[in-house]
Amino acid sequence: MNCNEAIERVSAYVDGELAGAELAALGVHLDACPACRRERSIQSYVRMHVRQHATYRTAPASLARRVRRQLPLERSAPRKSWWRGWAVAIPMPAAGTAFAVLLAGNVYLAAQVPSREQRIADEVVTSHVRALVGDRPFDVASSNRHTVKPWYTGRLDFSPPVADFPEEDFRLAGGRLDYVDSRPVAALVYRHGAHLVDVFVWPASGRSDARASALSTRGYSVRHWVTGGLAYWIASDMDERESERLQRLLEAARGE
Amino acid sequence: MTHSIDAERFQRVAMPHMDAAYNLARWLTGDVHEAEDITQEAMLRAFRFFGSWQSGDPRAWLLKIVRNTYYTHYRRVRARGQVAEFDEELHSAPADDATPALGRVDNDPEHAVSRAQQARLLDAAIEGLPLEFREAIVLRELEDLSYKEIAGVLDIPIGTVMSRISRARRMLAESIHGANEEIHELQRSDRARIRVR
Repeated sequence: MNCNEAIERVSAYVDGELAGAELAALGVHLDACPACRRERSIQSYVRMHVRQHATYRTAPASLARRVRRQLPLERSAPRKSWWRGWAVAIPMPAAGTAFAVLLAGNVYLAAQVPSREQRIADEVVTSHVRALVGDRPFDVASSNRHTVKPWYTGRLDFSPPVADFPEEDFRLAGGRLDYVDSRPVAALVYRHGAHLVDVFVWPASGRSDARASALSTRGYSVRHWVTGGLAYWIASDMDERESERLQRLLEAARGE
Repeated sequence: MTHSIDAERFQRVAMPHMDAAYNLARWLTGDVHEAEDITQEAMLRAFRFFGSWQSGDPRAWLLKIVRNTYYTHYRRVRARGQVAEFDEELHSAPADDATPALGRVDNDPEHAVSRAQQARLLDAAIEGLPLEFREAIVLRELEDLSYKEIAGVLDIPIGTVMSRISRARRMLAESIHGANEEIHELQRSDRARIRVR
């Protein structure tokens, strides 16, 4: 065994993960090699030091209680999804309280196992709220679709259609990459009056065009549909009429 | 939807590992509230998928769900070029033959760095590790998972696990050594000042 091979295996040696011929060969090499012996003392010291001194973070007791409460203790008939009523009752939060709503909103999982639609709605709203309160709603900031669209090349496995509608007061502000439904997606950001609107787009493989559905999730409105092999999800605090208008604009632009 | 999941069995099998789940989440995000959020969501997902857990270590299985929950929902995707590059030159083994100075601190009572200080320094050093090294070292040293189990949780080959742990420890050695040198320097200048009075 030469030094290059040996030095890579020293950590495994120290962790007791080497066996048989490899273990024997490394032992022989260490006897003859001060550089690798030095590496062994580093690996060994850090291993011991971390195990002795690094902080093992234990969960707060309240967390265990919360999780236990949310696990159904007996099989029950599916209850009416009370979370929607809860979301509607909450007034539109100001940016500062958005995170509080975000955290508390996860409680909706308790009532029943949510459908895929509800889960994705929750994910897009979470992303939307993060973008609102964070300092980086876009990775690429531009109102020019010829800047935004190519930005996604090489970052996504599809090319999202990007359009700007300034005369309709839906102004492209930029775009970012995001993760929804366990896949990377395009999030296009528009300004509409005082609102910031997120339009998430990703390929909807194999599904035929689906008519639009509108949901209310934690006080935000979500509208989604499938057209031309792409799934669109709009997350915003606009009313349904405005979301519908944006949908029509986006669909018309697809034709270009 | 039919529930073939036994909630009581889940409580017995998976709930004891909630601390491990939280610990990993906490080291991944560096944030208490996010860690609670991630843990809660991961436990509920684990419950939902409990039917698919056949056998094997439930802790490793749960930790994998925690990690996936973090990467899917909480980690912001960074534009290319903003991810810190790992500098191999900076972190290779030192050129001289001396034993590293790391052990000196523990054995020298006059220059002792308190245990609390050591813990803080080490925690900061681990938090400073790039994510892929941090998660490997946490799973190894704090959760005591085998290389094979770590490979399963991180979805990488065992050779990569070995390499990441190796490099993580070297990076930590640098951080610890650097921090101890600073403390020694401060203590030396403190003592010099006191003598002058």
